[in-house]
Amino acid sequence: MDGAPRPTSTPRILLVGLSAELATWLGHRLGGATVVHAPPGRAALDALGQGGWSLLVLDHERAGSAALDLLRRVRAAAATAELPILHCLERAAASRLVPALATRPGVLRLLFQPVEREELARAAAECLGVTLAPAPPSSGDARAMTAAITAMWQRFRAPTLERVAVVEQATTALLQEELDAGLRERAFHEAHRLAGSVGTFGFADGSRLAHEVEQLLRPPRALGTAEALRLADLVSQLRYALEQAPALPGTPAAR
Amino acid sequence: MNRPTTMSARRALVIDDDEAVREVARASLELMAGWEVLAADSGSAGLALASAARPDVILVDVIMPEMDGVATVAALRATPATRDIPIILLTAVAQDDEPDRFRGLGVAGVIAKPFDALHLADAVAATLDWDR
Repeated sequence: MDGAPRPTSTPRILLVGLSAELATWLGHRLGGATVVHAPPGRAALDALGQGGWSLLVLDHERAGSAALDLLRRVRAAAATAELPILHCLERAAASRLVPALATRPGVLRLLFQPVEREELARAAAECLGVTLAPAPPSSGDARAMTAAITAMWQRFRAPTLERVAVVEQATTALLQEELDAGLRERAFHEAHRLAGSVGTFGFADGSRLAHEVEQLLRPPRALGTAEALRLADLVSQLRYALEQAPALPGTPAAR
Repeated sequence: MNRPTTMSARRALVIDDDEAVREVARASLELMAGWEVLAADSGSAGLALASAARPDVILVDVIMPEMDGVATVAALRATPATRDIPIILLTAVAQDDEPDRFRGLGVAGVIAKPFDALHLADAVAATLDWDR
């Protein structure tokens, strides 16, 4: 199992035998942590093999017979031998299972069923050394959804601005008459992705600007001086727009 | 594990290579509608997941590397396990000829990106004539 850690500042949590919906909730509760849900069995092993995990959360009952196999593999692989584990199980099963699993003190924490979500979030936060975000959203609550999107924007802001940087790089190259087809194609695709995503985070102007950029860069459109200057202006506006607060319903920027 | 929300029986699969879009769609459908949401970052991964999980609806991004949305829809339609699952395309407002491209694919509808995260579930439900 290749569990070599990846350099990252965002905690990465793998949930096995739980639910995708809980993964989303936990990610919000932990302030934008990456929480991935994998069904027990091969999918969980594959996910674990991707490496870079900060915490494994396992529901013993839902994982069934795959739970023990997964835990043994985690402990057997050097890269994950000390991966912190939150193991949710029936109290009666603990004494039978733990001696075989807790091969290293301090990296296995048991949560006895029934486990409340908040209890799980607190335990995960303690394992990761992070603080919990404000209270969780409830279903159908627009304010809660807005809070969730805002938290996600904090996570995706940096990679989004990296996409803008690619477009800026292409713009600079165009102004210097050095834009090659490869960079143009890359910038075109990044503009397309920006157009399709940033509006969802509350940057309607950003999507509009990115769409204009995409149209300008779309091959085989000829790119002359006028297009280069227009592109420079659009990209400048785009970066400015994305560096402001998102205008989601109920946020100050939307008022 | 006790849940503060009630899950309905709806299960959606989102296929999009953009993680930000996948995550917002997931949060939107889960938090606003209580649906179970699966996600895949490529057409091939989505095809495998759809065959295994049999979702009630599949949202497919049009422009993806390797296997794009049109090819993904064709593969889903050609697979017995997924051929009857309604598909909605997610597409950034772009080419004027897109309605023509999508006509004939047999999709239930098209939702423009960027979508409104507060109302994505409403848009899906309206497209499929589902009660929310």
